[in-house]
Amino acid sequence: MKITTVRRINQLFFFTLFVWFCIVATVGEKFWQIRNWPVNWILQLDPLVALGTIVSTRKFYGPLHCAIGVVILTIIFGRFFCGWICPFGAIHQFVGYLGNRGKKVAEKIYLNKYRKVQSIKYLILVFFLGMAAFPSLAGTLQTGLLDPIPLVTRSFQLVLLPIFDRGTYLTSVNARYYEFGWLIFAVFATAVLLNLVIPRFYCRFICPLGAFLGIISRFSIWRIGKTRSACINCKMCEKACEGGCEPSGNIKIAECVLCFNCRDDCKHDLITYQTVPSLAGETQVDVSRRGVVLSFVSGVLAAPAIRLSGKVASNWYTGVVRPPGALAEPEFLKRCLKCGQCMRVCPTNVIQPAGLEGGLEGLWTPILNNRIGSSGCQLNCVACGQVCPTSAIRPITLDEKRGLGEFVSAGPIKLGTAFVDQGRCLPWSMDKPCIVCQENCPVSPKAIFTKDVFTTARDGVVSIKQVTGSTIEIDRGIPADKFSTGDYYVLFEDGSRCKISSNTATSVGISEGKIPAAAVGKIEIQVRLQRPCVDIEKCIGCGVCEHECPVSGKKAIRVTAEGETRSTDRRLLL
Amino acid sequence: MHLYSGRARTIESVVGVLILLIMIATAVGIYIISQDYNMARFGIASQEESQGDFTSVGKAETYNNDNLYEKIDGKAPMYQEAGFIKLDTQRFAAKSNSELGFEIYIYDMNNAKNAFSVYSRQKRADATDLGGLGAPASPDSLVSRGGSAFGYVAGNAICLSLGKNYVEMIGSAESNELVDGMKGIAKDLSAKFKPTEKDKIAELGYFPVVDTVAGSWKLQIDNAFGFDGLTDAYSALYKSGDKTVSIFFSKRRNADEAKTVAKNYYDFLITNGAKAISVDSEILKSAGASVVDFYGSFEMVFSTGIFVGGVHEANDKQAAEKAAEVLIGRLKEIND
Amino acid sequence: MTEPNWRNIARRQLLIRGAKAAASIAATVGVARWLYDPKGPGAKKEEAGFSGTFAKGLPDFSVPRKDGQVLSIVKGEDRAKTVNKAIELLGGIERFISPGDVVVIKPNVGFATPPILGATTHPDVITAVVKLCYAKKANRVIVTDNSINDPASCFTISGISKAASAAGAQVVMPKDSYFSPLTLEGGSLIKDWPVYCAPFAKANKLIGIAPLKNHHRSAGSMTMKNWYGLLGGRRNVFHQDINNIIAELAMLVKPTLVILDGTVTMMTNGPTGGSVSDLKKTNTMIASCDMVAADAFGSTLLNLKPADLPYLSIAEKAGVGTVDYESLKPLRAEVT
Repeated sequence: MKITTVRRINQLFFFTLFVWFCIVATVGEKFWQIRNWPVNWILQLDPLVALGTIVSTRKFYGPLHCAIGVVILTIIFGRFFCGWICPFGAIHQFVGYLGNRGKKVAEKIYLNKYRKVQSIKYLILVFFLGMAAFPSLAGTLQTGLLDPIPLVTRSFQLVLLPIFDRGTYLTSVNARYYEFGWLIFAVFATAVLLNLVIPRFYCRFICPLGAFLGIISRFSIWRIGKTRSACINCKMCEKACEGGCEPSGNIKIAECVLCFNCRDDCKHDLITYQTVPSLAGETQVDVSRRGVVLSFVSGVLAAPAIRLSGKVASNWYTGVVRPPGALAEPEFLKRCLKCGQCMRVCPTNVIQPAGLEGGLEGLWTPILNNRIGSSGCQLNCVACGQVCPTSAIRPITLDEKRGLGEFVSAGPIKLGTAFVDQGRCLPWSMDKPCIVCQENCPVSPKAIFTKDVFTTARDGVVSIKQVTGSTIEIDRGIPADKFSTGDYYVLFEDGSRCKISSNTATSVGISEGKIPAAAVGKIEIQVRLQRPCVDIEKCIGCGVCEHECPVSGKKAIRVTAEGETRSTDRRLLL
Repeated sequence: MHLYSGRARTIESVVGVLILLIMIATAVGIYIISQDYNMARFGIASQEESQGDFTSVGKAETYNNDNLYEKIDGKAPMYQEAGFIKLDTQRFAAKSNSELGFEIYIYDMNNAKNAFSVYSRQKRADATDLGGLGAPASPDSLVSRGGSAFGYVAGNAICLSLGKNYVEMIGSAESNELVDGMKGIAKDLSAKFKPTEKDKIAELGYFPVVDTVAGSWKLQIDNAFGFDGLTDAYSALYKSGDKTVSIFFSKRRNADEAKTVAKNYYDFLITNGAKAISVDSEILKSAGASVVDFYGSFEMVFSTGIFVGGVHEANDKQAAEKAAEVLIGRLKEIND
Repeated sequence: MTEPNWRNIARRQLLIRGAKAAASIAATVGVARWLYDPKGPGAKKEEAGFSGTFAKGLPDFSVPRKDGQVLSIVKGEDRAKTVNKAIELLGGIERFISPGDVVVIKPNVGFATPPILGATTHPDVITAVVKLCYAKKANRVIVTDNSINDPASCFTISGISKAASAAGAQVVMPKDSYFSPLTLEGGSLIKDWPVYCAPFAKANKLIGIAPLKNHHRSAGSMTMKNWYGLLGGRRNVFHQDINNIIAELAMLVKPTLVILDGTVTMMTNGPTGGSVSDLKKTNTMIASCDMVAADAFGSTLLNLKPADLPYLSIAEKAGVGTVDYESLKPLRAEVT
């Protein structure tokens, strides 16, 4: 069996596994739903996820331990992850193959030749690590922007599967929405289409993970190389070279992704996977020291430069409401990969990839948008923290979220606080009964209570002409039937009130209450309003009220992050 | 030397097969992992939980002091006054017939006395005591073993006092099949909430050994018989000849306090319209017992050692006095 | 290249590569184990929120109590004279300052207003107290506050910067790094809250000097409210419970001495005032080892009773001091 065949089977296997993990990342216990599928496994295998969080937090988060295995195998064998496992790599390889079909051999050899600018990816890696390296300046983990595993996870979870689902509704009941999904798609599509320019463009020029694996393959025991110097220099070995590592000449070990195509394509059996350096010579990471230093320093400075916006300090944007269990903002930004797992698993679709609300560094991090999705954050759900691969959203239990059991004294986790916009609220400013928010508040006792008031309707002051039984005839025309909804009352001059059961243009009928014996003079037609108020001690910021508010454009009750549990500086109450 | 020799090809094939085997093992491993799941991890409890012949319906709910009234409305204060901590409820339906089911209420009452108090005070008149819970059948064994697990069946309901938990299972219908199923679950629960040594209520054994009606014990934590000075009052029915009277006692910290409580209770009765009448029994006279006529029924109160004791709402004075004599004797025994 | 040569190279290369790879793997595993964090971040806020270290509390700066020398009240217009007299009555500056002491003076420098408006501590008092400290060979005197308005403007416009520097004191402006999260034992409000700690770290004496002001929320801003300046973060949330926070601050801070300057009292529109017509000449200087007593007396200058300032009784209950200042037999004098 040819090793290249085994490799392709392996790639197909891991790609399928990856897609499967994406599909099953929905809450439910059918076999195609999350149950205990290790949906984060490929993210956990990603050594750059481990490295990035180690650099930013100075800690190695336990569930990422699988990455150690990948690192060890890379040290022994070289960049096998890129050529054998990486699902993004598999996509590039396949698209590159499609793009190269029908091209002349010489052209293929030209496309796959080693280019000096492939070293850019090392600079990207170093730049990102620089951004994360100094928490005292403003450590922020941005590897996830270009790390292929978070990138491809995000692209599948937030763009490709939702697009696919639009027509089929196979993996979700309702259409999913992801604000800024278009930008995620644009990055993904660009990366894929670049394969038509140069195969595996992303892997060769951009991929910071590939760069990291290239660096640690420096001491690999087995490497691709030539066994004899006698070679006619036909360059057939570079015809299908995936890494662009120049096996025909001085091979660039750090670029080799162990595709073994060179070994297959050499008609003279000159290339092997061996324990000695290539007889044609080999080069380790080919990057200038000056470039590395410059990139690192740029990264170190870029992080505080982004923080100048004050978005992580007093200028925080009110809409940055994070999922339950999210760490305080500076810690959160040290861990979030922007992988999109939480956004996809969220049963209500309320978790969204942020734009620039949380600052440049908060791009694609999870925030709650209560106008999107089927409801706000559900009282009995902690799925987002359970799938977060780096514990940027801690894996909390339901007891912790709701403040039950051992968390009674800590109280429930608050995501923020709902504020009533009295200028937009129907009962507050339009004299229309509503209280949908109060009805839907899931907190017990309800965090929304009402202040009951009677207020006189517009043009509601009329004079009594005659009282017959329970009907009052009035002197002036009023809109027929308008006041028969059960919310309207008649206020008599003596201060007593009766409920209106019906009305014509010139009369009102009374159901509840007694018409005063000597009812004369003017009456006021009043509406009984229940005006919602938020009890800030009870409100957990779940956003169900905001979602349900019928003022659908800009909601009349909105959750903002004041009072969130995760930070003390946004505290609202004592 | 030709490296792509037959040997090289064999190695290539072996390595290839090994890699594919690892791959298959990975797939199998992942599948096995995926099978062992607990949806509670995501905050969503498994949709169905099996309990014998029943499966759970809907979500389990928990209530605390703030929202207990939402579940049981006006009954909430009774539990809260008796030390209520939390209530867990869950509905179950029979596997054979989904129409048939019950709802279980598990009240965490903080300690066994609180649990027994709400249990005994709500005990239905038509109750049949449940055996097999480890509840002692006779007062004798109560003194040595103490009581800690109690239960009864009444119509469609089973109620249990298990350590600090008071449990109610309310069936949807009065059916033997259902009650039998619920009994099975009651047994499971008594094993699950196995009472500990400190859950034992030894006082239940202080009633007269003979003629106390087993299972008629009641505990009123406070405000017993409407008098707020009488706390931790145990009462039970006693067969006095062919009559049954209710006898009670309360253990105080010392003899002086017992005397004061007895006196205060007597004054309380008089203030509320009771008329003092003479005591016939010499034993009771010497014990300083008082008898009053309270609108046609007889109340008796005395103190002996650290105990306040008496008879409550007796219809027959003779029977009441006889019961009181026996109770005094028994309490004296305990005092010693 | 000849064949045997190639074989030797192969063997040597393999050894070298193997050693390097083994070392790299060992290093990787070592680093991973060293930084291993199986559980991830916890729920605690100090871990996730503040980066500062967790401080137990502020040191106790107080000197031993002497009955009959707790509170002094001196009448007079000249602040330098009255404050000197007031301290003399309590036993003289030597009771409070020993040679080599590092003294922190905490005036009220909350606002960027000139001394004439009485919203900030008057510079004359600062001058007098700094001079007294240096007269007793204090090593260093630090004047600091965490102002509400921009600190530099506050210290300059209030005249405190100039007065303190002229007398030889060091003026310290607040910086973010000077705050550490702190929890008051027995408190309910000061929990993990950033408190202005750093300037006190190396000091061993603390003198609070406050102007006497009306306060919109707490009725009076005097020696106890002066400690509000130690709170960092978004401290204005505490205005929701102003009386308890003032009392908790008084529990947190144990000063050597407090001085309440009632030469001029802000009777209305406190705590900012803004017009001289808000002020009234009351010609009184108070020095005290008991903040509660000082403020209780101060309330009378505001035409209030101590009972009008709820924080006084809260603080008294917490053991901070005595509301009934007359019981301390205040020492009175008048200077002209």
